[in-house]
Amino acid sequence: MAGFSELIKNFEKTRDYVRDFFIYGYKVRNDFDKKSARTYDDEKRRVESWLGNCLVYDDSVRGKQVAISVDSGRIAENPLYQAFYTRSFTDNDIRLHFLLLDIMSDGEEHTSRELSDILGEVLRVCPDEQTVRLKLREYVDEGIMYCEKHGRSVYYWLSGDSAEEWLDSDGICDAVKFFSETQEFGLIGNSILKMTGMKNEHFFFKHNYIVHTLEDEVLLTSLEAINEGRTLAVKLKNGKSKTVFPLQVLSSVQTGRRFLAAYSPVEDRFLTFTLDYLPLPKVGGIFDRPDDIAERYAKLSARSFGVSLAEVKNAEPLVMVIHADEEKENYIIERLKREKRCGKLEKTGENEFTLTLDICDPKEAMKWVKTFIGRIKRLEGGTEDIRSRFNEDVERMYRMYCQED
Amino acid sequence: MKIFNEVYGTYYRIVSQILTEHAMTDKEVREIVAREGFRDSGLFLTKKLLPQTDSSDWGLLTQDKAGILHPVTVSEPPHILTALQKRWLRSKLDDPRICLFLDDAELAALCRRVADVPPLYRTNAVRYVDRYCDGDPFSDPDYRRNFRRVLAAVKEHRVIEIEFKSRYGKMIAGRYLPRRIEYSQRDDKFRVFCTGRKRGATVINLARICSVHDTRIHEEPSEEPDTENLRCSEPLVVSVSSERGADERFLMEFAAYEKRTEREKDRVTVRLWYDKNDETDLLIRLLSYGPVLEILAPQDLRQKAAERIRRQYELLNGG
Repeated sequence: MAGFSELIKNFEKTRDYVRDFFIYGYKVRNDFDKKSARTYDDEKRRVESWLGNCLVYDDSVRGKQVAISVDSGRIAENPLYQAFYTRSFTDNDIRLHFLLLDIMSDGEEHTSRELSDILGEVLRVCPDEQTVRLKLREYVDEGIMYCEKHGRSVYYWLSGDSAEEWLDSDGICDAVKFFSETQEFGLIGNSILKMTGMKNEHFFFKHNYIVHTLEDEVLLTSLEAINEGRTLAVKLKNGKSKTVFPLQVLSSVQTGRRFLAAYSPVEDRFLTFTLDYLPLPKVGGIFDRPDDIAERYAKLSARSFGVSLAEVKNAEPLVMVIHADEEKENYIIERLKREKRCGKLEKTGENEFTLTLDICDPKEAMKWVKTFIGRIKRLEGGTEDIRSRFNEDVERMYRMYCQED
Repeated sequence: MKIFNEVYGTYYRIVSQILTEHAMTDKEVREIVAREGFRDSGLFLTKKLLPQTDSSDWGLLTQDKAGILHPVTVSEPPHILTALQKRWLRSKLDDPRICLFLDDAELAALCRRVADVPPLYRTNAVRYVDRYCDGDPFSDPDYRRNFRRVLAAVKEHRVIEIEFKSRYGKMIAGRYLPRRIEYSQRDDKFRVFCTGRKRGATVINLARICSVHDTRIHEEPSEEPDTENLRCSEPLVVSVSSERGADERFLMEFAAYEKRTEREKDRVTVRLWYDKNDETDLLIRLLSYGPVLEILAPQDLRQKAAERIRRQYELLNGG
């Protein structure tokens, strides 16, 4: 396939374009200046081919904008999954895939030599035994086949785990349909549905950040490293690499961001990396003192309001005093209870409630605090900077909305 | 073990489907490629599938004298689950929501089947930092029973009698045709979108349902989506500045909405379509951006923001 192909070899580059079309939507051709204009044209054409129905075009003063515009709450299948079903392959790859599966459907064990000989009778151009063996090994790694050594020969046979047998009840099918649209690799569930010709039609998702799927490879590598207690080499925006010990993935269901929480042995501190901009990290060796770090992390994260693991010096507990009519505005008290996370809520007067947040980085709570604008009687503690910025913000908003005339 | 692997790809899936057929015309092959493939797949995939005189095709189909295509394979391509897919399924067994779909016997059978499969990830390796803490009781037997009855009715287009407690504590009972089930990642709650015999489009929280009874009445849902009447009549228009990285943060946070954006120097203007039911929730989320975001329209939403800000200004300045 010389020239343009709608299939791709490397997902990383495409990931950036799809994300930019989806998140920003206002970018024009000249804004994609990290690569050549030709690269932009090819990537745009691919995205148009994969996701044509979701693309919108607008003419702005800066040029023609291309955007992926979707109401995530009204779709039964994440359209961005399509971008993952595009990996390129060689002619030999696809021939070997279907022919090997066909030959091995007899349920028997075969050596690579036997399979190579059978293939020679079917194919016009027969791959050598080495190529066949590599494909068999690849499929053993993927779990499609099994192998066992008898004497000097390795015998291969097909896995008997067919999707139809595993998905043998309505309940399991419904579960796969539901989880195929949830966070943490819904894409894999979707690939099972596609394989069996099923699709989700009944489950819809609110507050659903479908763009997360673009990070699935990064997430999988990170979770594998966490599971095995290994380090990760992460590439920073400045191009430098940092070796860290990954601890947990922190997912914000309100801001749409996911972070990797990790410990940096060189700096002896905890850091977070946003997954949406993190290039695929490299897995390193086993970390030598995981228990000690995990204990420190557990203590710190118990005092984190969100994803910040920074222990701000001289910060006091942040105290927010709220006005809420106990009879008519019980929903405010309910809101405080369910959203306060690590805070302590007390009734401190008639129609007055006080929330105390003893957290490592009080600044992080301020976005949430501002959702109570109109009810905050006092804001105390935290840091001087936080309190003055809150007062300034209210002043600026007052000028913006209330002094128009 | 890779997610981005050609064995999950659209081309492999189309070829698998075509090799399942014993005899096909080239028109039928082209139709499958057009239906199942990407927009441009016809340009690339078809010529690799159909036998070519220069043998540049994949050699997976042969053509008889009558022009009918036959697969060179004997058996239908099997649908074998990969290790990645099995490990994903194994991980989902640790998710408390799994018991909504499987009864105890099914759950036990699946547990036995995956006994030797390691989970793809441990549940505690991912933490939802700002999920509400009053999520639905997924393991409660009554909740599980109601969920399954509602789901069965959604699938089979059956009218059901639902008795539920409203948000104001009032008991309501009525006949409804449930159309779809919605899960909120933030609230950790399920809701069911219904068409009520008396009330029209209704949204009921699953956790508020006390009982569900099957009426055995079958009713085809109307074509028009029941959520259209919940849609805002006028989009929200906001101007977000790049101060404090607000533009980037806003676009990420509101990525779930259908929207249009336009950049002007250090500001982004965003038009965004929302459900009227969510207006208050939307308003407080907009206020959380402080002065780096300005609501331009609709005017009544701007007015509501102004009222809250005025009250806050007076609280701080003793007005």
